[in-house]
Amino acid sequence: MLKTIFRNGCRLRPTFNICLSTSLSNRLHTLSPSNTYQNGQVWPHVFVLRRTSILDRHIKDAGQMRTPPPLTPRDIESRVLRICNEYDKIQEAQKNKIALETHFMNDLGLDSLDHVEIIVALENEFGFEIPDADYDKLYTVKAVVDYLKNRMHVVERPKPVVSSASDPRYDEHHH
Amino acid sequence: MSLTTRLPQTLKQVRPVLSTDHAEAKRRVLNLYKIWLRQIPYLRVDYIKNNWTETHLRNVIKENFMRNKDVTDLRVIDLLIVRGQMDFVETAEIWRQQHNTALMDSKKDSYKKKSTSFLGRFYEGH
Repeated sequence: MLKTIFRNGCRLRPTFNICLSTSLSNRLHTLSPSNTYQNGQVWPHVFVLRRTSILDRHIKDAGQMRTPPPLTPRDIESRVLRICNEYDKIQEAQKNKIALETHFMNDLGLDSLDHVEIIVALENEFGFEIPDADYDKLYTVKAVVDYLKNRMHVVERPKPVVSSASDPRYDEHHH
Repeated sequence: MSLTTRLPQTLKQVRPVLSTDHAEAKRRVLNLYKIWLRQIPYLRVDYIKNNWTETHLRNVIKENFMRNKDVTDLRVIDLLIVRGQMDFVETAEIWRQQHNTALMDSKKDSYKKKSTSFLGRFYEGH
């Protein structure tokens, strides 16, 4: 019930009139799977100021130390497949059949310039530069995924990143 | 004994312009293509009056590269690469004119078509 109040009501207004227990506000701060809505969506999420009592406002927050969600191999695969599907030189018929074993040149009929285009799109997506020497290793989707896994050091089961931002014990010194 | 048989081996090879074999030339071409691709968002901003979209620019760049795809002579390929890189530098530094819309136009429509009918070829002289 409190969740619906927050959803319809205040967004980032300083909450003078709501007396919140600190544990509740701490739980609301973190975007964990239990704090998302029922269907798994995350937005819109409501923030409430953590230091609600006026006497505590002088203490600076550690800020929302938002670490990016840890990367899984399936995540990489889905992103690569999405980029391949968005590429307009591939015919519509073949778009949904792109699998791990698809060879760019043999199966999809692309040439080396299209291959360069795909790799540039991948570079833009993942944010780092792929050197020229590696271009001829990346002819199949599987090779691309493996290469990205190596480069981004993606582990099978990533440990959840613990951030000490919401713990008031670390206000004096940050880790 | 003709002159060609008496020439020493070193004179029989032509001095390369940039690259020594086709693999190196291919690498240079792909590199040039990559930097043109990466420049697309900046082209859209610098020459904003032309309202080029990203797909249009990609098609034009691809077409310009494909126009020379049948060249086999290494030195010609190298010269084309050099000219392409010069064009790239001129475009990136905005030494060109911004209102020159035909810069990135598709050149397919402006080629003169070879006439196929007998009379057409007769009039042209074939």
